[in-house]
Amino acid sequence: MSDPKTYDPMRARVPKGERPTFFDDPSIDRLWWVTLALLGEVTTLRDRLDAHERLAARHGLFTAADVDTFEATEDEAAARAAERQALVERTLRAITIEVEAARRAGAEGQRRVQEDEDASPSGAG
Amino acid sequence: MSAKPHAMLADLSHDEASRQAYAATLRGYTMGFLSDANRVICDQVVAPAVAAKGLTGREADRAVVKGMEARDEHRLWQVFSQTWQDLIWHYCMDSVDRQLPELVDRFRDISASAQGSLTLDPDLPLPRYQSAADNHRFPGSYHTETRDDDVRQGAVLDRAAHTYMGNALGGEIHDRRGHTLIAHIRERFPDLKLERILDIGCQNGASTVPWARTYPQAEVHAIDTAAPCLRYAHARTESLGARVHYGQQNAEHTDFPDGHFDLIVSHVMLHETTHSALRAIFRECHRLLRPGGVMAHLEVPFRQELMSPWMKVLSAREGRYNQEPFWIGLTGADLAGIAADAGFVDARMGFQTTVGNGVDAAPGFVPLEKGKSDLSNWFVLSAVKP
Repeated sequence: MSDPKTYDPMRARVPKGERPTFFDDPSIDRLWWVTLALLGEVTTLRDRLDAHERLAARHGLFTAADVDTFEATEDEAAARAAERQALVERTLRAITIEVEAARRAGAEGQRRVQEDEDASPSGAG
Repeated sequence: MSAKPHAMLADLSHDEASRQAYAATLRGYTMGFLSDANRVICDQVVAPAVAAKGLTGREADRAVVKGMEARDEHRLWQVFSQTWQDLIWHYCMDSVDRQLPELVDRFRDISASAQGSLTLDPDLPLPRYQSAADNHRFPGSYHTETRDDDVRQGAVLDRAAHTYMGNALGGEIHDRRGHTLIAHIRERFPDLKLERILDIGCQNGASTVPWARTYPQAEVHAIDTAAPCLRYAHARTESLGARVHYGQQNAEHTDFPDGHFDLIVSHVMLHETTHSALRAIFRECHRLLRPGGVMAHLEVPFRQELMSPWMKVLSAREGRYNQEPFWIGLTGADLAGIAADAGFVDARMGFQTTVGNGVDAAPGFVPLEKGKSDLSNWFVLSAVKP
């Protein structure tokens, strides 16, 4: 069984094996993933905006004209920045996963090179 | 949002619900428009061209897949198919991870005053067909544990089943597979006396609960190899007011005594094993059943011998790209023959009309050739221990 103490967060986010690609250039597969994820964020945003506008109208709170002249406070702007960051990370997940795997492989390669150098007579001498 | 059917189901915020709705919409576009266009191209252009070359059987099937994969509209369908599925996992994982500590606490609270039971075996070796692939590209598969008393994988699967299949499995409670197999038993074995029932490969218990609810006087046991699913199943079942005894066991060799059960069932589990495991599971079912007892296995409603060229391409995709290595093997296997080899009699394969989709009464259990390759019915094999 898997052991929570040695659990790697990547294990629970990325399925085993290589991600299959179907176009001659795998970049196209990646771009489709990003594009379709982005489309998901856009539709979600539309839903949320719709909820706001309908709630506002339902309670007689504000109109679209008030939104046009809205200015965020400092705290509000910070919250927006955090949400924007999360949105970007969700959208770029395809790239994050690949680059992280490459970074890990690179770090592993670098460690091995260093160990080889440390172990070799010229490195020791 | 409507009230949740049980306490363990992860909440959905507004945006989480929107993302899941989007994934379902994208799936609809892919499995509707894109898939239908590909079906026409495959069945009317690519497959006839392969047939014209004189190819038949597996050779023809492979040539059709190759012919389709060379076409851009098919590559688009592949990319979209893979993306909506991966998005569903990610959306469900995002939602469950946000509330995982509360779900684990809820499991602990419910478990402390349970009417059923949960017996885990942390030393149980995972069969290779479970450890080698993440079926359906589900990250971490059924068994990965991210913390003590983890229920994550079970919670993600419970959410994903609804997003993935819409209402086809029975909405958020998705108990139609269980009810469909119950209808099968009532139709084929109306006089079977049920005192002890075993559900093998029970995952999060969605199909186990209908058995416990329909036969409250029976002792219902359910086993699986994955601890996070079993913990989740245990708390979910209790929350639904049903009584089930869950255990972490391998269905190929359990610790129950000989002749212990009247009925052994499984729901869409066999296609995630192997040819040899399948035989071992049937032999174990034979050992565990009393004389006159029944085993009944519900599976995906697809059979290789009934498939159009396009259905075969869909089927090849499951094995090749969706980490379902035994999909083609199982949907082509002579399960009745394998049951007979294991000592069963009166083994029959057919399709059972899905209960709960509005056509409950008819046609019931029909022979293989009358089945439909869709979720209006499920494949069932049932057999009797003499």
